[in-house]
Amino acid sequence: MKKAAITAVCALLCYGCLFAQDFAFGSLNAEDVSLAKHDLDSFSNAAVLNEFGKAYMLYNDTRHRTELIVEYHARIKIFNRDGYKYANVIIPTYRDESGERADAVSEIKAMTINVVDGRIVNVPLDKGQVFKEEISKYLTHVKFTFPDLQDGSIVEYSYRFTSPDIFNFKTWQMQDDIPKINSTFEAIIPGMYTYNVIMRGPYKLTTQDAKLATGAFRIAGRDIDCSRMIYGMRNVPAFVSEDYMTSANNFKSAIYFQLSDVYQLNGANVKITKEWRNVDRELVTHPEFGNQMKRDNAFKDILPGILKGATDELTKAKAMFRYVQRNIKWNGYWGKYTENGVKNALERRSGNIGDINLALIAGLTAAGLDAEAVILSTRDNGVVNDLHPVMSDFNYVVAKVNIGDDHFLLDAADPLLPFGLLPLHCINGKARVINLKKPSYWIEPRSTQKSTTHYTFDATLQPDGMLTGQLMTRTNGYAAHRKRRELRGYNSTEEYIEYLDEKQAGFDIVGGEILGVDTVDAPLVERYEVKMKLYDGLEANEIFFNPFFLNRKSKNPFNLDERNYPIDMGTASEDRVTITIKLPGRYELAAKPNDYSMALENKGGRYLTQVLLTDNVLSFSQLLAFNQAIYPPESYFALKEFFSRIIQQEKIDVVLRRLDAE
Amino acid sequence: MNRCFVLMTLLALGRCGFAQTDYRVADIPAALTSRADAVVRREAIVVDMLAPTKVRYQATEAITVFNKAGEQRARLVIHYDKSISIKRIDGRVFDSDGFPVGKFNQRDFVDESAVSGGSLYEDNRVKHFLPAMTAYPYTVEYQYELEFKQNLILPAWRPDAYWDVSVAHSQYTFVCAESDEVRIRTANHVGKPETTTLKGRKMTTWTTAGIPAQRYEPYSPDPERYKTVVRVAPVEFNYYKHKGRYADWQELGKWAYEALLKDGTALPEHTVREVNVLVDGLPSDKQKAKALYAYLQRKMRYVSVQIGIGGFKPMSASEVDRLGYGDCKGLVNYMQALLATQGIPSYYCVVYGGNAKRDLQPDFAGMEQANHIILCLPFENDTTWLECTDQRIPFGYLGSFTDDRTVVALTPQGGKLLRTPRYPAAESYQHRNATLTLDGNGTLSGSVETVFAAGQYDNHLRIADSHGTEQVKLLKGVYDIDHIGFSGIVYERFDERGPELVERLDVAIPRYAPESDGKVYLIPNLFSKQPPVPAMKSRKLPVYINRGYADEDRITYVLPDGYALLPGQTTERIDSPFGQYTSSLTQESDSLVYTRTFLLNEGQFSPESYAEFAEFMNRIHALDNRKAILAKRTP
Repeated sequence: MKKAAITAVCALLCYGCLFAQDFAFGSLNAEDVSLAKHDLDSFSNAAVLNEFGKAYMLYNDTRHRTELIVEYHARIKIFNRDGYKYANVIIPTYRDESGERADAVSEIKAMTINVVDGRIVNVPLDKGQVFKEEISKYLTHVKFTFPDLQDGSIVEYSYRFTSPDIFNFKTWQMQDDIPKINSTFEAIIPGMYTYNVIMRGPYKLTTQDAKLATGAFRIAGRDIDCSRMIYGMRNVPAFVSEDYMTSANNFKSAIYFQLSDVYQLNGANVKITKEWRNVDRELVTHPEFGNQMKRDNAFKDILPGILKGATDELTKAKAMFRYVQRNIKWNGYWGKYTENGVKNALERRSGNIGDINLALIAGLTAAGLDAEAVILSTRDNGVVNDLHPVMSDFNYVVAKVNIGDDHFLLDAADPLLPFGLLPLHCINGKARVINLKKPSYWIEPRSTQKSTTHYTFDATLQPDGMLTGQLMTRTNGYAAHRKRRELRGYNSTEEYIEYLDEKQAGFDIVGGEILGVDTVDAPLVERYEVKMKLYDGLEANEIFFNPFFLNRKSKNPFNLDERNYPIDMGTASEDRVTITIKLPGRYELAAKPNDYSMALENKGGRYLTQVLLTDNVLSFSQLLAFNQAIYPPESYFALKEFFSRIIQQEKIDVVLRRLDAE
Repeated sequence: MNRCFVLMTLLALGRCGFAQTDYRVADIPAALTSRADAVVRREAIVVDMLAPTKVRYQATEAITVFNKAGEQRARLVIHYDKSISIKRIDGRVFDSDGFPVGKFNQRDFVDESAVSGGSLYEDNRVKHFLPAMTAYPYTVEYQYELEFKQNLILPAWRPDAYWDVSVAHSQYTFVCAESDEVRIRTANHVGKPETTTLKGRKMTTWTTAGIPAQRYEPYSPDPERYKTVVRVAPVEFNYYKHKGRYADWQELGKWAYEALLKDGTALPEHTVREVNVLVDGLPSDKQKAKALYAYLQRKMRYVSVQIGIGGFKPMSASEVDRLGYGDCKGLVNYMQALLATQGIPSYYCVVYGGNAKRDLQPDFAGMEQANHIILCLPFENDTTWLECTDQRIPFGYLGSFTDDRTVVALTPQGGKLLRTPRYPAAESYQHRNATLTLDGNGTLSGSVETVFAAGQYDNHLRIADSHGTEQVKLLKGVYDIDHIGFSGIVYERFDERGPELVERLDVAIPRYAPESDGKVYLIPNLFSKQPPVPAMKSRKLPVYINRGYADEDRITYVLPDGYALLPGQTTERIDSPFGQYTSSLTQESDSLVYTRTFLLNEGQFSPESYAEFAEFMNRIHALDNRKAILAKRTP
């Protein structure tokens, strides 16, 4: 035992001398000192001067497992106060329920380097100022910050990270939200492990090298050869987050690993992840996935009650969806696997996404329907890799029910979603359908209903200058979903209408009703009796009226000078406004906003307005449609201009001139 | 033995009460369901001070939840640290008919770190739980017991602390030995407590019932001024191995000074030498203090670390010196130590920091009323205040976080009540002057200069301190006009007067004023827009304006040839108890001059006056967005 340990130490020492890539701790280059804020870009308040990571494996004899060791070293320059936050270091460490499998951080070394009167002054980190914050039972943050920070301080730190989780090896972020002058990662992977390596992001590696490291991993008294890979990137710009963007991880430059094969010492090759058929087999028999999909017996007793009166497949599917939606409450956790199990979730009426939607699949199966599971990655989790099955990419599961030639994607976790409409966070590129009997396959979920809002305002202008009438708003899809979520915070529609009335400074709501609050498959219809004081009287010969008061844009959501990523609105949308106003007496249109028709290229969107005066009825209609969910970065300026034109149009009034006055 | 007996009786009483109650939703009086997201059906809290280091807290709470918004009241959240142990938590859930449908206990609770945002480390943790119910209404009943290992801070009773939640019944009982000296402060509570004494134990019980749900009302006073609070504080206390006694701020201040502040003021020799050099030759103590404050701002930054002794004891000055950071306590203590090297006296002051101006209660001392520390320099006729956690603000500036409120200085002589300065409306101004040229395409371009003073000094301070694209992004946030562009951005600070921040910008706003049918539409008020306030119909609370200010805008538009302003209402003036607003738009040959003044008065007004207030503000909102129409004469 002792001997083995010594050998390991020797091996490490040899490593050090053979493959030293790391930069020396605390020895600055002239460029480190001279680098100034504007040398890199105009906005970054800190920059990584150099960063080095080395990840390798060690066999832990006491715990009988292979562990991943990451040695991390970074040197960061803080240009000003706004960059002080980059001197706050948080290292997350995970553990399992028992604490048996836990990450550990050790050998933290850190210091602040200041240049004071031309001299270099090092201020080391006080060990007492390293804190361990138990965020939850699974997660602890190791935190510290640097002493004696000043504008221009250089902070440098290193630590050793040990983890029993070797599946994803070490994800190396080449890019961060501050620029990096140099980032180097050395991965030493024993020959017995095969990883799929995936590069993301637009930038190219400036260094890439692979060598053999003979006997660099020792297990059960044997020295195993390793491959030693070096990945390096220089002058990586800062990543700038923008609105209407999905997860930054989709765009940041990084190297991801996923374990695909392990060659065991006895010569057997264990496929960890290689092809979907392997994954399928695992998922289908997984106690917290496939086995849960098969729990149709959990519905045996309640099934007749749920399906009462349902004869065709669609009605049955809807009934089952409603039942699960109303009877299992989401506990706030995502996940593709069950947390409590289907049976338990039905009993406790609570569960995570896995519990709820695998229960739905089991229920649909119990009802005699063809149901499959769909695993996906949510919008803020990034898109999935479609070359290899990377299971850790998937963080969510929904149900797919096939009826005749149609299929419906269902998420029962949100009680306000209509049948067949996935929540917006699930619409994120490709998703994989897992079938208990057939091979899995890709689909690309889309929002099945357009998000639409249609305002209809039917009013009369009274001789005293009041505008009275009925405003009806009909919403569908996500627009209706948003409104239902808002309504959920009120006890009654009366209270909501009262709130709305008070919020609207411009007009009074005298009464109203809201239809379809609880029938989520139907559109939501609001009907309000409103009045608005437009003028103190109508004596003037000309009256000015601005028809753009419903669905007014006023502000341009696109205000940046450059944009590098797609504009992702999540869903197509269509908003219509129809206004008709009966005028008191005879008027003519003295001026009006020009009837307008504007389109985005490739039928990406439309904006139409029209003003008419016929038989003393003023009518106005407006359409604003975005036909795509995602626009490429090149469309950014077109979209910005589109909104700008709308805002200009909204400023223009209708001028009505009285005829009988002359 | 006696003690046990009392407690048993109490518990038995409690139990009996509950056994007879059920939680049928239909039994709730209509007055309590109106506008309520949840109803506290029953709340009974017993705080039993068995010993200074052993205070038992027992609570039973039953809450009926009507909708999603009511769940925040139904979630049981227990904050704890090393001085609090959780003895027991369990509970039941009932359906709308009052039938029990589920049970839970401590194992079902989620345990998390409760380190607040922006803090590096704190000892605090939190346990919380909300039953999983898929249909409303339902009722959840909790029973739990905690034990406090100190009695300096005892939990206060705040029966109606939540918005939109009504209270059917709530009671609070404090139990102590007959011989214990206890101070009690009751605020906004009608009715006398019931007091009984049994075998040397004294029980005092406050009860309230039938409080309807109150919703949040904008522009209303700090809830602390009108909601029920009962605070209890023993004269003799024990706190993290510190013993003491106090009956007022003087005594509490004295204890706090001795226990928390007296030590830890020494500075390392090299720092003393450094600051000696720094202030050498400066003519006055104030000049020296200013130099030392600049030294603090340059060298130290705010990092919050709350460990031990309830977050009351500052990190020593030498440690702050070594680390280069500290929290509000540590930085104030450090600044005080710097000043002491020059023999300049200063006071470590505890304050309630927040946008609401909340006084520490002069007649009821208690550490828990404060949440922040500032420093007071008692120069003769020139008392100066320092906020030590901000590296940007000028010497002597407090801002809206700690202005105009009663604070307590902890001094060797004891606690002293002091008041921080107020920024009067007239001095808190924002003066803007712009000259913009309108071209034939409706594009505006020109320069804008704005001066921010006193209470409004820090409006754009963060923007002034940022750089490059970040600065432009922040500017686009405050001057939110389509396609606006900035150049020539300059900020200048005048710390001596006001203080004042001057902002100079060159702006370009393409196609701001569109043309149609020979008319050009221009909203002359570009930058100062008053948002609307809700027109509430049944206002319950007084109208309260926390802080007044005075804004002035003057924009000169240079027009292309042949543009004429169409006749219409061009000058407006509104006088009201809440303030004064004027605006005017006049054409002077080739230019159009827009002016706007808005003075908002600080103060409290009757609930009935809300309608008038809303009308005032909403009228301003409308006028701020009023359009001018220019006719383009065809040559």
